[in-house]
Amino acid sequence: MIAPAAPVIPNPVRRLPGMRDASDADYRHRRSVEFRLSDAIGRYGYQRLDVPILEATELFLRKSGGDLASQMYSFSDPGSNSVSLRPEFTSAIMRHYLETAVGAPSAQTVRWQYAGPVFRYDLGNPPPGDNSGQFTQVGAELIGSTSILADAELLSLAADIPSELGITEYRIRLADLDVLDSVLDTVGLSERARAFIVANMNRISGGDNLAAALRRADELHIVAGNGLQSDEVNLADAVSGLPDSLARSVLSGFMQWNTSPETPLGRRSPDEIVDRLLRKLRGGDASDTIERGLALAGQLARVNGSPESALQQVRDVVSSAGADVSACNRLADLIGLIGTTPPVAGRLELDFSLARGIAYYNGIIFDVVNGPGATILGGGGRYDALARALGGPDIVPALGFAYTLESLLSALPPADAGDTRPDVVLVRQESPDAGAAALRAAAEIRKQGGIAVLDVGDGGSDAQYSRTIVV
Amino acid sequence: MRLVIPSDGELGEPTMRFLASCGVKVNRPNSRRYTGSIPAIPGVDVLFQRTADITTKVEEGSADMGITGFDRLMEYRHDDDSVVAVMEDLEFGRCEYVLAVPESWLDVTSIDDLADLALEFHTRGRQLRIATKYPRLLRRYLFDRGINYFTLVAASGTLEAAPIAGYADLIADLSATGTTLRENRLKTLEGGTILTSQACLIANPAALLHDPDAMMMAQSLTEMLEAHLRAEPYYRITANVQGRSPEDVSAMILARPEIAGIQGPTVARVFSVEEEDWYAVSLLIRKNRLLDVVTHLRECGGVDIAAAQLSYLFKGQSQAFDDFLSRIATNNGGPSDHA
Repeated sequence: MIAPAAPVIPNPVRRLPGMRDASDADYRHRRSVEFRLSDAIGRYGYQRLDVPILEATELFLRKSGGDLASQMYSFSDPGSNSVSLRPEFTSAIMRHYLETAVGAPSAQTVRWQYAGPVFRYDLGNPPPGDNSGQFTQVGAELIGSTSILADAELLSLAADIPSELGITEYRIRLADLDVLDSVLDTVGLSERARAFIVANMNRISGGDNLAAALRRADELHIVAGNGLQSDEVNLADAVSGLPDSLARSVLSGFMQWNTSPETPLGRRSPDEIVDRLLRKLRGGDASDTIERGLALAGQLARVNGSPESALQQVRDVVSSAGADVSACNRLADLIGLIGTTPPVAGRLELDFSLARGIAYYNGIIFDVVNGPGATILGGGGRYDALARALGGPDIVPALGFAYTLESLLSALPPADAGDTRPDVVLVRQESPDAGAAALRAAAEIRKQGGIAVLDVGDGGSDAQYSRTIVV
Repeated sequence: MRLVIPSDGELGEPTMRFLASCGVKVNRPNSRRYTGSIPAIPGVDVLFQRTADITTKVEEGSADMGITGFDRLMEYRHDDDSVVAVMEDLEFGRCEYVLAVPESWLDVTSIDDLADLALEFHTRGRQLRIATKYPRLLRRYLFDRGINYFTLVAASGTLEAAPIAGYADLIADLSATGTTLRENRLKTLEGGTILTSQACLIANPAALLHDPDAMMMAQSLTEMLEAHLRAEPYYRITANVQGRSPEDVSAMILARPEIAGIQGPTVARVFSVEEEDWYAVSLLIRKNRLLDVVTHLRECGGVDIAAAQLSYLFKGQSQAFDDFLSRIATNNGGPSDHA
């Protein structure tokens, strides 16, 4: 018996989720907005830098860690290289800087702007929004300056963008990671515990969440002696009080006793395993240290409001913690520089729950939100250590921001209803043998700069054309 | 209707046995032929394929239904619902897709430890290498747990050797009992189960919607499998009990409602020449209550107590097939916009 041939099933290929088709009107509108933004950014002296849509996957992994990794459109190219559609621009811009500017005769400050499609696969966990599938980022990077004026310039530029388009109800939420660091410095935390706290700022702004965060720290073995299994507790007791070198030999012996020469190690050495085991048994930070760190961070995370009152709250946290005040002073200076003049005046709020735990961020971090629902239009900050994360030789001071064009477009006030359609002339042949004459007439109109469409007998209504000529 | 089933591997023989036990035995003229039939449902063509290819065969429409591992379905299907599970659990082919690390890693006992280790590797400029057959499921699982720094090593052969050979640090593999892992001196992690899998029945909704006859056969097949699995936990018990009336007998049985059967007893007069007060009692009971029920029936004066395996238990409708139909009715639109 031969299996019957598969019946033909109508099976049209459909548009991918998160991908959009733009009509002529939508395309023109979007492009005109993009040009206005590019002009506005250009007036600050930022030059356009166009970077590829496709880059080595590694580039984005090094920048974003996993935040974006799970959403990247990654695949192997025909040469078996792991490549990705860009999910953001900053890493490619920094890659370009490292390729061109490093090693130049004198350190230089560069100002670049960019615009174009980025791609993030919607995994369905966060509600789909403008930031999934294919969307458009417009942004700017200021690389090479540590000056507070650079912070002021970039923040002003970012604040200019929505008003440039006629958006009025937007606010700028600002935090400063150096201030957070200065406060955490007073506690004496391990790097790991500190990274954990900074990564959880948006969760610990409420008092109850502090307890939840502490529990999570337990599970991650960040808190000393907690989260160990029972046999590990016995091991911990066995090495407690021993100096590290002696504890290591005890654990090495224990490991040899429990394994045989055939036991695989993966690519780790026995010493590595023993070292990490010892750290795990000894635990990280004392519970009260972490609690104090979380509490201080929580006080900062709850700082919220207009710059004057919020800044006072920040000063109170910093001084009660006995922290170094220089970061706090710098933030105050920055707010003094830009806080009372347009476009920032009246729109600025301090909000430390924004702080994010990505290692290369430092200094200011901000986002721009619109309307009562606080829809995020864009955001940015300072990331002096990114260059090194991308494999550069050293720290390169850098600031940048990115807006999602689609979010800006939905925040725009309704467009003028004015008819902006161009004049289109319909050229119709009078008789079947007048085709050549019709072609010539249409060509003449186009030569004069007009738009001419031949009547090819598709029966469309004349009303869509500004006039009809018959030849 | 074209049904594609595994030709070999872990699911090959068990699938044939399962279908036979459901009363839809597959006739395969000889083991070199890649087609067969199910005499109980005329019109069904059975195709034999490698387990790894079954999801794709159904997805691309060269078969309407298939039996494969739930793990394979989750790994290979596209997330556009062009193939869906009609029955997620056929109650055989059970295994777990787990992470396993060398036993020598005394410092790593849980998935949180692994997350920490991945970060440690990363800060030292290295990447944790994980050998696996199912990169898609694994990648998503790791990302969901905040493990972002790792390299997957694609492998299809014996993964267990990878950490010994040194081309991977750890593996993610299917394990039914854990024996193979232990023999290779690997251990599983607390919270390290990526997926629990078993055989499942899958279908291509578009192909079935297009062909009403195939849809009918798909329903017949689903009904048979579902009714058989539903019957599995039960015995049909019959006994003869002496009593004054049907009400009297049923009251005795129902004195212990918890073992009185899933719908209460059916009681019918036994017409015998000598005596007139015998009743036949019929009960549907869970298998693990068998001896309790026998004891109770004896206490009620029951004799000739017989227990029989049920082959099928049909309900008013097929739950699995109704769910399938309502799911494909709501999933028939184009891509939704994020506007």
